[in-house]
Amino acid sequence: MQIAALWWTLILSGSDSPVQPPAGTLIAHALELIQHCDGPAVVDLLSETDLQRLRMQALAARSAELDHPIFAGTGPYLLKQWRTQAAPLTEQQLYKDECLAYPSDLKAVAGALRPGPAWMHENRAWVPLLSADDDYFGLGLAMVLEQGQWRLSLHTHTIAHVQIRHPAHAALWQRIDAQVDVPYRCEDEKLPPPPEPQELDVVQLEAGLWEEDQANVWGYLQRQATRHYAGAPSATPTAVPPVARPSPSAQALWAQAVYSSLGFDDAPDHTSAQWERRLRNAVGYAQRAIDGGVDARELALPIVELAKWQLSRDLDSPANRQAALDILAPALAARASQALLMQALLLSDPVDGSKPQCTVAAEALVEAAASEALVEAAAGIDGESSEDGAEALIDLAVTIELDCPDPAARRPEVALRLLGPDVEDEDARTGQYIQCLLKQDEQQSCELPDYRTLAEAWSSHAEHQPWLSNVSLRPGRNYEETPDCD
Amino acid sequence: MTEASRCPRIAAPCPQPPQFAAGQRVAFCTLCQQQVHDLSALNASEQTALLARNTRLCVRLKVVTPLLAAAMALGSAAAAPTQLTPDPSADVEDMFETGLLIAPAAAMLPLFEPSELPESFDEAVAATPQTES
Repeated sequence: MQIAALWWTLILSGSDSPVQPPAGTLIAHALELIQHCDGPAVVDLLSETDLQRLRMQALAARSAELDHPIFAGTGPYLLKQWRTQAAPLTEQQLYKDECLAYPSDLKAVAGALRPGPAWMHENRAWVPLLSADDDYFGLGLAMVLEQGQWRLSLHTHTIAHVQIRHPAHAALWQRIDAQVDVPYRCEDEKLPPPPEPQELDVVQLEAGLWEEDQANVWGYLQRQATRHYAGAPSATPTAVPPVARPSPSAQALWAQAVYSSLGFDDAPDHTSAQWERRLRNAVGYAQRAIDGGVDARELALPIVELAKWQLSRDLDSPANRQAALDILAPALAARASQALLMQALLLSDPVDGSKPQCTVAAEALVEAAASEALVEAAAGIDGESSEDGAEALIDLAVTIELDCPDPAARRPEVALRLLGPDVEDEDARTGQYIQCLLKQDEQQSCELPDYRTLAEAWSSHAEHQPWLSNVSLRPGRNYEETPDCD
Repeated sequence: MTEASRCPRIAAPCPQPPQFAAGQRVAFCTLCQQQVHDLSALNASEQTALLARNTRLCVRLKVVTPLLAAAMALGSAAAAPTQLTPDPSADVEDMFETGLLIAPAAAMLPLFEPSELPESFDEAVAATPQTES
C-alpha cells in the first residue's frame, strides 16, 4: 500500500508548476531520515540552506558567545554538547544532535503516515502526509528544488505540529506526547567557553541561517493541501481528483485557515456582508469537522466570533442575543471556555433588553471552572497561564456577582467566597469594595473597580488575537516537562 | 521561592516586561531571569524557526491585527448597545504583549499566515462541501 501511495505521488500532483514532483523513493528516504534522526545520505537529502545553517551553528557554537535566537530554549544544551566535543563536527552528526535534541511531531509519527500527492509552486513542494484512514492533520514534507534535485527543507519540518487531535488517532498522540518528555534546559545553564574563539561577522553569519519565505509559499501550499482534503472547492483547477471522503481534521484546519484569513491585510472589511459570509464559511467547516468527531473546543474561536457578529452588525439589524446563543451551542456542548464566557455575558448582561440571569450565568461559570480546573490539573497546567482557563471563568463569575445590571441580584458574599482567602493579596481593591458593600449603611460610597465591571468584561472578551488563539492550552496535551532549576 | 525555581512557571503575560530599544532583538527580564525575544524584530523565517524550536519561550510580540481592531470595536459596541456600529476607521495603537508562550509553534504556522500568492477563501460560500459517503 505504501509503494502504491508513493507511485501515486509520482503520477499526480496539485502543481501549478511544470516541474516533476519529488520521487516516491526520495520521499520514503526523507521520512526514514526524519524518523530515525540519522541517515548516511544527509548531505544528499538536505537543502543547501539547511546544510549551511548546520555549519553556521556549529561554527558559532565553537567560536563565539552569541546571543542569537537559534540558541534559545534547548539551544544551550546543544551549545554545551558541541563545545565539549572534539572537532571536527560533521554535518551528519550536527543533524543527528539537533534532531535528537528538539521534539518534532513529524519525527514522532512519520513512520505511521503515508504521502499524498505533492503540491508545488515553482521550486517548492509540500507533500502532505496522511493517516491510515486518510485523515490529514497538517503534517507534511517541505521540499525545495536545488540544481534539478528535490531536497528536504529541514527547518520547515520543525514547524509541523499536529494542530487537530482527532479521537481516532489516540495512538499517534501518544507517540507525539512521549517524545515531548525531553528534559527542559534552563537558559542559565553553565556553558563552557567556546573552544576555538575567533571574531565572527555576525551579520554574515545570520544571513546564511534562514531560508527566506517572505511570500509564504509554504503556507500557500499547505492551504492548497488542506483545502483539498477538507473537500472544499477551489477556483484553481488541479490534476488531483477530489477526495472520496473529506478528512475531519482537514475540515477543522480549513475552518481555522479561513477564519485566520479574516485577519489578513486583504480581508474584506469587517462590517461587510462578505466578511460575514467568510466567517459563516469557516463556521460551516468547523461544524462539519465537529460532526466528523473533532473536539468542538478546537474550533470554538470562529464559532464565538460568529456569535459576536450577531450582537453588532449594523444599525438596521439589531443585536440578536438568541441567534448568538444558538450559534454557540456546539461549542457550549463541548464546554469550550471561550463559549462559556460568552454565554455568561449574554445571560448576565443581555444586549436586547431581556431580564438578566446573573445567578444562572455565574453558577454555570463556577461549575465549568471546577471541571476545567480538574482538566488543567490532570494536564499539569498552571491555571494562571491560561487566558480562558478555570481562573478566567471564576473571574467573570465574580464580576457578574458584583456588577449584575439587576442590583437585587448582586451577591457580594458569593463573590468574596469565590475569590477565596487570598483576595487581599491578589485583588485588594475588589476585596475592599466587597467589604464596603457588606457594611450596609455605607453602600452608596462603595466604588467598584473598573476592571470588575461587565463593560470591561465585554471589552476583554473582545480583545482576542486570532493568530494567538492556537497558543491556548489543549486539554490532554502533555506539558509536564517541568525543569529542575533549583 | 527562588528566582531559579520560578523560571519555568512564569505565567503570561509578564507583569514587568523589559524595555526594548529600536531594533533590539533580545532583552533580559530580571523578574523571570530569562531572555525575552522580540518577535517583531525578527523576520518571518526567524520567527518560525525560533518558535518551532522551543515549546516554552518568553517573547515580546505585537498584537495588533485588523481583526483585533474589529473585535475591539465589536466589544465596545456590545458594551454600549446604543452605539451598535463599529467604527472601522478607529485608530488602534500598536500594542505589545510580553510573556511566556507555551507550544508557540502552533501560533506561527504558515498555514495561518498570509501569502503573497493569489488565493481565495470564498469559493465555498456558494458551493457545498462534499458530504461523507
